[in-house]
Amino acid sequence: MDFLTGGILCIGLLLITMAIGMPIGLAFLLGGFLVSGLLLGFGSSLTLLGQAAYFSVAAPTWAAIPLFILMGSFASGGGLARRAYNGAHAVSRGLPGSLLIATCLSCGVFGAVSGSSIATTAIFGKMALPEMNRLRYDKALSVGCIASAGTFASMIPPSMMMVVYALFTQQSIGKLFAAGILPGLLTACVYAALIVILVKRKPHLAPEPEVPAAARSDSPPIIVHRAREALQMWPVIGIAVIVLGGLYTGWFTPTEAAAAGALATLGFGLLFGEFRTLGDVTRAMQESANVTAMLFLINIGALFYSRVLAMTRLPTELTMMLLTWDVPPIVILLGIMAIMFFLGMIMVPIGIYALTLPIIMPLLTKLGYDPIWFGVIALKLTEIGAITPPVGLNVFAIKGVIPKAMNVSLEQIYKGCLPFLLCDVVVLAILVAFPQISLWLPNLLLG
Amino acid sequence: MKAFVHRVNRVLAGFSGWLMLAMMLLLVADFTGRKMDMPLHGMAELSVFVMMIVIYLGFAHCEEHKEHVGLEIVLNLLRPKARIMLVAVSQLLAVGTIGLLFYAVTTDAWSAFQTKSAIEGTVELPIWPTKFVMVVGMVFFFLQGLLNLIEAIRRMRQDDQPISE
Repeated sequence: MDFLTGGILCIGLLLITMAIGMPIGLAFLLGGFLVSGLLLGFGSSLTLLGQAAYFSVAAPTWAAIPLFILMGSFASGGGLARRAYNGAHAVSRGLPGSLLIATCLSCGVFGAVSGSSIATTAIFGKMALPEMNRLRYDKALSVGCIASAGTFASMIPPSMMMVVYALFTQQSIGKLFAAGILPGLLTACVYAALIVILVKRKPHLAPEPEVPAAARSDSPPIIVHRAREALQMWPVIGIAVIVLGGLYTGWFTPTEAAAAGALATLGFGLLFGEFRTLGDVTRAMQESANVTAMLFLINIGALFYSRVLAMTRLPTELTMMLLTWDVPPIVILLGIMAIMFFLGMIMVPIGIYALTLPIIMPLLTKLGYDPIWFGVIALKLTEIGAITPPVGLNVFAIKGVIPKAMNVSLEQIYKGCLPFLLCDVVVLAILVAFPQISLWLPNLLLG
Repeated sequence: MKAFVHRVNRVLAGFSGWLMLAMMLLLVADFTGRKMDMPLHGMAELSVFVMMIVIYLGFAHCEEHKEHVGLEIVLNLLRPKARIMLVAVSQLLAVGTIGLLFYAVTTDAWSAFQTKSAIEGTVELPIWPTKFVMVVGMVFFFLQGLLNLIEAIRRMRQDDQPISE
């Protein structure tokens, strides 16, 4: 069998094994192993697999992922989400759909300490939804808003998926983090604007509570009170300053920044008395160890698979072939984005990265696209995938925390996500049209 | 057997949780020492060892609770009987793959032990102990995979039996 056929077989095997429900990490391993066995012999293939099982991830930079996961777990258990939410609500109070806007803002703020959009969605679902329900907010819009705003955690640094992208494509983690800040904030602003417009046109979507007459005017004590409430967010902002400030001033490597962030988050959790027993802390640690194991089986499999695929020269040949096509680069880019968008609807982000990046990255670089900018685009596409059917991970996460009494179906959640999905598409188009939005900050900070 | 494997999985997962804390502290000690002009050598490398142990000891617990992410879209389109059958087939392939990985990791650990493979630097750290801990993790990952396979086959056979009045 020639090497190119091996490459095609490699992709075919992967798709079949994934389709029948095999865990993605094992599907990558099996596909890669069989093809490398056919090409190099099964003895060499086993040696390659044994080495890949250790050396593919045994580097200090990879340690940033478990530590960011740990930081997110400590933040969830340590009451920082509640502080972010209360603080954001103090800022948004008085605006139409204030609780929805508060959810968007606080998901953005909480994204600075949690890199997982699923965890963020579940936390804010538990916290914000009962209050929205009590005020008779539209159910579909409420859950759609939380599921969509949960995706900010992936875009706003520190983001676990950005670390994964950086390690798969050998890019700077610091630059990628910086690249996500403006697109993340832009999305949050667009969401907030959408909520204001929707609620102004249809006030029944988010009825505001009756404000007592005494509290109606914005007299100085009330402003002071709101400012005091908004300041509750200081620990979250403090952690973001430690992590990102330390990273950009050169104090920390990304891995050390993650360790410092995790320690600070644990410290705040203990300080505010949210971790009351040792069991609270061990639960957070065990949860992050589980997520780490789950994620790294995919990473190990994906990296082994990428190595085998690169050996077949299929990505190189494909790049050469597409480069000879007489079409503008933007057409190829749009084609790639369409594929990633489709995959985002059925697959987890890390699987999409592992499947596509080894093939598309050489092509995109040859076409002159910036890998840091494309990191933001890829992340945006997978974020969109998190709220689209049939496999919307954030939709599943919110469904899991909705009280049964609320009686919200999956269809209603997807319907609620739709306005935010349209916003995401608009933001994506803006990010593609104006790469400077993503690249200005990393170039400013890191040259 | 099942109870034993589950108990060990729980212990390994709990231990992994504490190792996460150890990893964090090693790195904090590393940069604190560096900033105070008292560098502690080998901390970053040790944290990588700890990470590898966390990863491999956690596999079995994830397998037990079906936390390893897979695609369910095709399975959900099938009729219950076909779905149960396909789940058993995919679990069989999964166990086969875990077996391959187990064999590869064990061979690699043995070879690292024989060659006294180590990370070279100011402090020479042997790699083989970590690799043997990885083997322990793989043993329980494989056993848990087998238990899940038996469960999948049992469900398939139950589904084949006619429903009695």
